[in-house]
Amino acid sequence: MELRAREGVDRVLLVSVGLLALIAVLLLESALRGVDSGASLNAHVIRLGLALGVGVVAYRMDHLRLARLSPALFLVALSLSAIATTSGALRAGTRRWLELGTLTIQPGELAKIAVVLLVAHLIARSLHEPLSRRATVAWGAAGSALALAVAAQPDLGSAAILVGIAAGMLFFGGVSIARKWMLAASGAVVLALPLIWAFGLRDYQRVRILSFLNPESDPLGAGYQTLQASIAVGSGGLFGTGWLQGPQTSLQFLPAPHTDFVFAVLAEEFGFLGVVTVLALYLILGLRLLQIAVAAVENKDPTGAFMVGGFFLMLYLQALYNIAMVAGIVPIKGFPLPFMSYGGNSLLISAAAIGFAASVRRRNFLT
Amino acid sequence: MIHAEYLSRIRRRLTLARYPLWAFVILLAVRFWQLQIVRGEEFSSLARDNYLQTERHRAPRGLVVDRGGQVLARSEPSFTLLADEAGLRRLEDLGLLTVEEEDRAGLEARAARGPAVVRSGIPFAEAAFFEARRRELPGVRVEFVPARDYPLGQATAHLLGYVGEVTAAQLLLEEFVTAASGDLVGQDGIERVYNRTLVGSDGYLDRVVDSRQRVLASGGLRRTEPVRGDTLQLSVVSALQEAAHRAFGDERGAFVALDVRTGEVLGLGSFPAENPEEFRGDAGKFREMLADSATPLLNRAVQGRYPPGSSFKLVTAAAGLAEGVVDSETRYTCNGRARVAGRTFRCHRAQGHGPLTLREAISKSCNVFFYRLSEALDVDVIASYARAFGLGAPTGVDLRNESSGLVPTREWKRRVTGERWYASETASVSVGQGAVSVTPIQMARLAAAVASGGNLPTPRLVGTEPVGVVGGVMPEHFELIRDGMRDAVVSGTAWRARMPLREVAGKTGTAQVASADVVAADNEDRPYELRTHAWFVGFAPFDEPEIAVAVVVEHGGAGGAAAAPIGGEILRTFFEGSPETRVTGGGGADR
Repeated sequence: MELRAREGVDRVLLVSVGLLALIAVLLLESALRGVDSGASLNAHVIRLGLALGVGVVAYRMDHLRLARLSPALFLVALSLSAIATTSGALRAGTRRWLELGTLTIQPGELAKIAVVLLVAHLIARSLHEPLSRRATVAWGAAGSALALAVAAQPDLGSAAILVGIAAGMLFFGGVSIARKWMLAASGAVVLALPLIWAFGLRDYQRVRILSFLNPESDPLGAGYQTLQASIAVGSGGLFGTGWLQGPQTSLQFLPAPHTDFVFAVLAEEFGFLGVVTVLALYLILGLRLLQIAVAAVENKDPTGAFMVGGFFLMLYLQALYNIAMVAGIVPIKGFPLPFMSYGGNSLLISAAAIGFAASVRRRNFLT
Repeated sequence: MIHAEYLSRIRRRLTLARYPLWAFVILLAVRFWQLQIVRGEEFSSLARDNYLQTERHRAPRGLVVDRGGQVLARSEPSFTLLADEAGLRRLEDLGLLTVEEEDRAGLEARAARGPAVVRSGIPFAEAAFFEARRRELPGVRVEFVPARDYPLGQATAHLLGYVGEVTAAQLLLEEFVTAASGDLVGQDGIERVYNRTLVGSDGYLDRVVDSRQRVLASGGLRRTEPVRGDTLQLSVVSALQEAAHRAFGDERGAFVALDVRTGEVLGLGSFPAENPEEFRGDAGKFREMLADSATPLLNRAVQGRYPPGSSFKLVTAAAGLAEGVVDSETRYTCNGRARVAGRTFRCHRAQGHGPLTLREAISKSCNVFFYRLSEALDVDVIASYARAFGLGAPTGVDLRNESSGLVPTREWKRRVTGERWYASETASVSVGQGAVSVTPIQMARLAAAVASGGNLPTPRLVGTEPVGVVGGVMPEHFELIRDGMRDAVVSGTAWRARMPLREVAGKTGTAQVASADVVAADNEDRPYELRTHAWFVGFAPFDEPEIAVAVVVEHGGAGGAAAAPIGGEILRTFFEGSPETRVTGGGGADR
């Protein structure tokens, strides 16, 4: 697929994201029937409208000017995360949210986009003139502080995503890493695992991992969610049970059907064909993002390339993990499925990412 | 300026990133293929297990009715409280478990396998109490189980048996293949033997429930109605059961009444008896009954083994006649005692009966006549006639655990004691003492054989079996014995079995349970368990016998005084349907 210079919004991005959001509305209509947490489809549709607005604003922005503002944005995200960690609303034993009237902000989500913009900005600048040692240390420390603040909420998953985004972007940025350092780093991680298991994890985290390894052992305990998700997925078969007809979803055997396990609703009600369709949409969208990044490099816009590459990492680390979790391949972790899960923060951040990506593409072909 | 080399590296790495993306997407697609296509059926069935709940509607057991259609056993509406393991703990915590400590273990073991019966036959108010608290008492439920009700109570207790929750061991038996844990099955008597006829087929109702076990739908799903078990008609006559129950009063013992021509059981009872309704679901009461020295759970009519005493003289008489040792004219003289094989035996009449014929010996129950007769008969010969009358083997009645009784032979004694047979023992056997033991149902059958002139029917409660023949004994021999039995009722030991309008024939027996040498001579002075057993066997009407009866009163004293009145009561009830019709007056001795 060759990118052709064309005026206006990238249709591949628009159509694939639009279809995902549309399918999500169908799935949420089904999932929300059994959920009585106050979540409603109306709220989701309103957020979709907001997300569209955010996307349009991001699309209109000059991404190079935004990159220059990224250090400030990063500091805002770091401050908000720290505030959430220390005095945010306590939910299910974690402090990840800031409540402003009826709005609930999750600084962890904002931090992701801030990290993408900042790292893109720093790497692009370092291509012209290497960063001073002091700046390297300062930004490294600031990034670590953010990751630690998020991890301490505790939200190890989001912290890991932040680290993953940064590491992936450094890789894209052409950072050459000596083999011995690679070995030393991975060796340290392996050695650290038992220590993390013993001291770094909370009880519920250990239970999650153990239950993942053997879900049937404790059908009503922690493994229950994984098992019920597998039942929902498996009973979908080739064609699915039909929209609104999935017993696992409608009779509330499936946990969190509107958030973490929305993909399981798809698998149950639309079967393997539905799964393949949505996987294909994600694949097309991901490939397109990488294409846009490559095209930006070719157009001598490394900032844009790194930004799009970073957004790709941000969206796909979460999406692939979420789907793998529904498929029972990885332990349960509360990552939303971008564009599909119920919940405003992730939706708005994802829309912003797509808006920026479309903006990068337009600038690289219009000029 | 940016190095072109840098840019190409960046470009290369961004291009490379699509390979892991492809790889992950394909990996996920393969995984979903495995879950949804390869293992789809397995997960669909797990999904059904989640939301489909099957409610079982227990079928009422079939009715048991008597010969005339009167109900003997029926299933009455009743509520049963069931609980699984968690439910049991909950009941315990709330102090609602009223089961005694010792029964706790058994209940817990049953509950571990599935919902078990905590209490049955609970009143409506209690059922409503638990039903209203389903939410607070998960694992506890009230089920509508038709409970068994026996209108005649103790009068039919052993005959009908009882029903109870199927045990873990019983579930392994071929007999109970169709039963499931928690089911009520026949545990004894007719309820057990004809369990398969009486159990119906349970109904099922599928329901859709959500994850919180709320019922969402039950229409349009599988629904089968319970079907009541078949009605079982027994050959017994209720009035006989009740008359016998009244006549026995507090005495222990048993009776069996048979249709002389077919062997159909007209009545069968064992006392003491306990109405199954009294111990339903009450393990404490049940244990008490098991430990009771009066053995209320033993069905004496088919399981009780008693020395027959003088009622066995019918067999000895038939043997003597058939072997040609005596005939209608043969007379032996009784002077109150006889010396056989160096041992002295006494007649019950100390001053003796004087010279008498076989017919007189039967009616007066003279022992000496039979001692003399036994001197000419080998014990193995007596045994072969006893067997011909069906003694020493189960009769084949459709009840469980029937005893064989014992007909001693030389071979038997050698096998059991290693000693040879003594002639004096033959004398004991000839009057139904020594090692001989019989069951009441065997004696009723013997009476039927004598009454019919040698036809040996198989006693049956349901249906009939082919009638056998007592070999070797001629019709005129039976006639002679029957005459003696008529005389016994008219003027002899069995006079208390008399009735108006129809002639009764009978033979009494007073069976020693201990040697007269070692116990007080007067029965009344002995400890209860050393007192004699009282027997009556008889039939009526004399000319065209219809009904044969055997009655044993355990440690009841003399047969004429204790057993003959009960036998008479049964016979009178059979013919007149009125237990109030009694003969008064007397004559003759009580032996």
